[in-house]
Amino acid sequence: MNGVAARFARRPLAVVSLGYLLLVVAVTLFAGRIAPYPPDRQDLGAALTGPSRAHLLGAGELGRDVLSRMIYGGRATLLAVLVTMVVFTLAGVPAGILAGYRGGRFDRFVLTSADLMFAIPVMIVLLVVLAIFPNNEVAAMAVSGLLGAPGLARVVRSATLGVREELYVRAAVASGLRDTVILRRHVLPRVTGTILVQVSMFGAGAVLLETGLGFLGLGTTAASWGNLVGEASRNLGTLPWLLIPSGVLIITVILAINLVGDGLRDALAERQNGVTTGTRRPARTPPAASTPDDTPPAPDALLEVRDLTVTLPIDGVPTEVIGGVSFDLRPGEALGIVGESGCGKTVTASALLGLLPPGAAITRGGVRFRDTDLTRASAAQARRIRGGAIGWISQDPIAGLDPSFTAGAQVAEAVRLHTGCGRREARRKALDLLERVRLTDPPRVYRSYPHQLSGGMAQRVGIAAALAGDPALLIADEPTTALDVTVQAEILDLLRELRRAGTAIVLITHDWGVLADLCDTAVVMYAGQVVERAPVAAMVAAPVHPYTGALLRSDPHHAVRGEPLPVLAGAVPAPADRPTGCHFQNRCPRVTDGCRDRPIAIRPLPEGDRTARCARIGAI
Amino acid sequence: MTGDVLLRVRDLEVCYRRPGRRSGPVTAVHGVDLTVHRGETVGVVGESGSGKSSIGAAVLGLIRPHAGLVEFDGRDITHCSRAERRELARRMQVVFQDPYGSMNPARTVGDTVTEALRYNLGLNRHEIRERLDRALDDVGLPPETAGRYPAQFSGGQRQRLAIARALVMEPEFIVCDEPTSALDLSVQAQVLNLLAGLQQSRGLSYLFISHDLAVVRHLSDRIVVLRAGRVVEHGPAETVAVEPSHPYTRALIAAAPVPDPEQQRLRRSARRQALSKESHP
Amino acid sequence: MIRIVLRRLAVAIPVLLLVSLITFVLADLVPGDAARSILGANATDAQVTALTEQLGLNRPLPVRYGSWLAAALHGDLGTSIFTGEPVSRAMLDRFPATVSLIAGAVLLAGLLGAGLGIASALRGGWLGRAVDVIALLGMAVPGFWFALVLVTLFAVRLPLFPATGYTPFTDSPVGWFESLVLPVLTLGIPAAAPVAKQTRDGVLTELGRPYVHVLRARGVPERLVILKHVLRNAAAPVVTVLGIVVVVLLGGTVLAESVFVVPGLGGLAVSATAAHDIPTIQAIAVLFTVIVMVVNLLIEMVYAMVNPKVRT
Repeated sequence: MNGVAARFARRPLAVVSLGYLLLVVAVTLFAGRIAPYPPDRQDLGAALTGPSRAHLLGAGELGRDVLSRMIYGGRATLLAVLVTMVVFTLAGVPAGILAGYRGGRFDRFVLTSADLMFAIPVMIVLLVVLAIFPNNEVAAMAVSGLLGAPGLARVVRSATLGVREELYVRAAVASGLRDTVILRRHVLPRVTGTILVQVSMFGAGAVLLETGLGFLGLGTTAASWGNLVGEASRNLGTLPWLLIPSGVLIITVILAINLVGDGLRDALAERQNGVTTGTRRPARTPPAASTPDDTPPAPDALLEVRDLTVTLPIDGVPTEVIGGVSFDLRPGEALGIVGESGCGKTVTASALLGLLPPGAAITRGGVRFRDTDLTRASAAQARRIRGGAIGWISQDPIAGLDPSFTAGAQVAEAVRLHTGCGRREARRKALDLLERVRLTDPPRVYRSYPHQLSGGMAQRVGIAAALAGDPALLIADEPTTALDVTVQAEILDLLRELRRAGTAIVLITHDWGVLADLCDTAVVMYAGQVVERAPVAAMVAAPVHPYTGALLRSDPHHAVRGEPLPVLAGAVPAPADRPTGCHFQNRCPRVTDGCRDRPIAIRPLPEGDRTARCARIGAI
Repeated sequence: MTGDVLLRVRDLEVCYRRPGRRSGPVTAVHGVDLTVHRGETVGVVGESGSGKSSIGAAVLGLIRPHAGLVEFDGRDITHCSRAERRELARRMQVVFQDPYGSMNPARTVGDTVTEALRYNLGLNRHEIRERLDRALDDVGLPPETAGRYPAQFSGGQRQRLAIARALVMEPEFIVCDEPTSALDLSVQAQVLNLLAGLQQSRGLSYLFISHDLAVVRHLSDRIVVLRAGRVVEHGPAETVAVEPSHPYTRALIAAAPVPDPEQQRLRRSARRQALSKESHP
Repeated sequence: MIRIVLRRLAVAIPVLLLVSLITFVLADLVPGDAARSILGANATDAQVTALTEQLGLNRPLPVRYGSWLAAALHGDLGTSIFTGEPVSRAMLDRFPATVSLIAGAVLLAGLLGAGLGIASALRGGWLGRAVDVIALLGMAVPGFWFALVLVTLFAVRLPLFPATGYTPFTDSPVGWFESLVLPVLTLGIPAAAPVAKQTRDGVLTELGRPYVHVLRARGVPERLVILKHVLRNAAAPVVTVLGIVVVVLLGGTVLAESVFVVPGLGGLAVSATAAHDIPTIQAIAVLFTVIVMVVNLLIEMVYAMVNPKVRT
């Protein structure tokens, strides 16, 4: 828990709030020594007067000192709040943890009673209790804690359920670890944050409730914060000042409770995520920018990506995530971008559409589609092209559809947007498109919501919507990664069919097989750069860049049983850690000092139609 | 190289109750039989919904089978208690798919890796440290790794740690549930080699669950192909992967594209023919 | 939809029985003798016995509960010990004021909360921080205190609105509106805080979902992405929060009606509590439970309309 205390201490607002609460509690506890007067001492001459030397915060009815009554009043109020929080926690937490961890009948019982409790107006029940036990505030507050407990149990239950599904808990169960050990080591620390927030929120609510009851005159008869507000309300016309001291006290205490709860939760969450705030990376200088690429464009290109360089803020420093990316695509051609995660494939694909994440900037180069520079097009121009001449197919077929609309409505929306036709016409065309992507029962799919579709069906719907504007180019970002291999084959067949009909395709993938199935040209990316570009067959037969070769060899399709797979040691460096010179230098078997000095330019190869970014091409 | 039967699953049936639906329970596994011999790797291949992970969970005691039998080294462990699991954990361990979920982010990796040693075996500090260092060494990580938190490791390193967590118990048998599916190609190769090497050096047996036939084929002695909760084919790895007898296995193999355009074109047309033959018999 | 109504009813009946039974049993535990407390300390024993007989207080609890239930089903909720008036009549008289108040407050909370939430999600910056501060204050400022401040400012200092009282709509629509302004502000502004927070979080979550990226990539104008898609998906949890807000507001009316002397159910509940008028408070508890359940049913129906996963 030391870590939590230290992290909590780094939050000034929470620390000040905690200090304030402790101060209030201490003053209340030592009321007898601190308060200037006993709570009921009358000073009739000073009745209903504002602040004075004798009465620092003024005097109320019968001339009782406001400050003293506030100090003594804390006893009744804070005791009632404490009772509420204790009952709430003791009843809610064990029930919630048990329900979430064990499930079954007890779980259903907790859920049902939480449902029931949400239907009970708490305030009225408290009034019933107070009608029967007049002015027994502690009983009323305990009941309120009890009424709130099922709500807490429900929240704790779902947090527990989440932890129980974690793989490290499953592994612990499989190891036969005792439930008590698992609860103590894995479950409790994870749900403590949730509990603290709930309990502090409920405690803040209890202050409101207690003072409300006091204000109505239904709570305790002794001095309490609520009674002070009640007194103020009776004398609103004479001395509105009375509202201020009690109001400020109540509001600040509630604020402080909430802020302490939030601070604790954040401190716990930080520890939970293993984030170390104390050891921030020292301010970095941005790594050296890549060298411009000036390969001449192909004259008949449909899409021309030239020297595309994008930065994203990482730790607040704009960092180059892709640098000097260039390639061309002719009409009807299919080009695959392949590489591991962290190589910049998805950023490249997003940049082609001008849909970079917030904070990203294109610092060099651009993307030309036909006669439009997509990186400099106006918003309206870009919108016409997106979904019109360029279609996009997403990685996650089901989440890529809006869950609130039927599949058909979403395809029809795209149709109307890009053809400007009427509703009826759009519906007809949408059905045609669903037919065109080889869905077996288009009218049924049209009516279905995304959650009713399988991944493969959803991806076909996504492709249908991408075809709405009759695109000349489709950009598909890992379109089959989330699908089963048999479904993947069908989607690839569909894409190949579209290609035959003349649509050009840019495919982002990590799978050499998918690339070989669909594409003519392969572009290999490593750590933000294109390292090799070649016709697929030529590249697979004779990779030039050492990374291309290593990546191809680690594909298990090439594996020989009983022999280890050829291994490329290490991992792709993060954008902030890319070395000067060749990005692959630290994993390359053929590295020389020359590779480390300065950025390596991409160069055309003698066999034509191929380029590679390696200083040692001649030497290999 | 393979010896007597270590794990036997007989007529296993697993049902799930779908939450919030009034429809009856869904059967995920229908009467599956499989055996793992000592020193052997058995691969279980199937697509989503095939029930492959349910089999692993039933073997590990994470779910209660509806019917059937799970035997480990001749002992019925289908419904064994937590205390018996604790005993069993010295011999049977698990490596899960997601390297990001398999370590508690709030505890040092050394703490998580040695958890079962401390709470189940009650070893002393010295013995724990010894086993920890050996396991870390076996998975290719330096001993000082133990004091760091999971967030400081890459996916591949975390998967090594998950393997170390299994190794510290010095088991004979490990259930690998999609251990490389979340990894990049080059890292996957590293982890596969590691698993193969450990099998050699420690004489382990694996139940290797994956959706990727190429991966399973590389590591397994025998392969079981699942579809919709039933075994459609099983046999020696090479036979199943090269001359499959069941049409579903053939479809599965034909559907997985190979990284060579020419070869892939041939496979594609072969798949087309097979499909049209099936629809017009 | 019908299934939702039936399921809600299946929950509603046991809850109503439970609430009425609990209040009944609690009332039975009441210290002292109900008949004596009605007649006062000077009554003779014979008078007390006669009244006890008349009220049926000497019969066993299950019998009394049964007859109360039977009468309640016919709309007879008993007679106020305090005023001698039928409870159902008193509640009917006071129903319109409370409903006006709650309807106004929910409307204000919904509009203000959704507006602030959407604006802060799309604009961020100072608006986002403002919503945070408002949400924090909304939890921290006691409603009754806020009410008193409003009265001091807008009724005592600047006499814009009546400080207290209630004008029925049928008497004077303008007067009705003016008499509601301060109580509705009192209840509605703090209630807007959770709505704003949920709206903002919901919109931000939706904006991060893959389908938003796909819609943009399809060239859907940003206005349409927000209005048609994002807001619709963010709406479902906001509806749930509104349901909770209504339940909290029901409790809030107790305080607000006391401050503004609005002749509503909340005020009745307070005076009944102060007078230990058990039949009245019992009936109000049951009525409030019914109101909450009707609201929950409506919320669930709206939720089902917004969310196809529940509907299909």
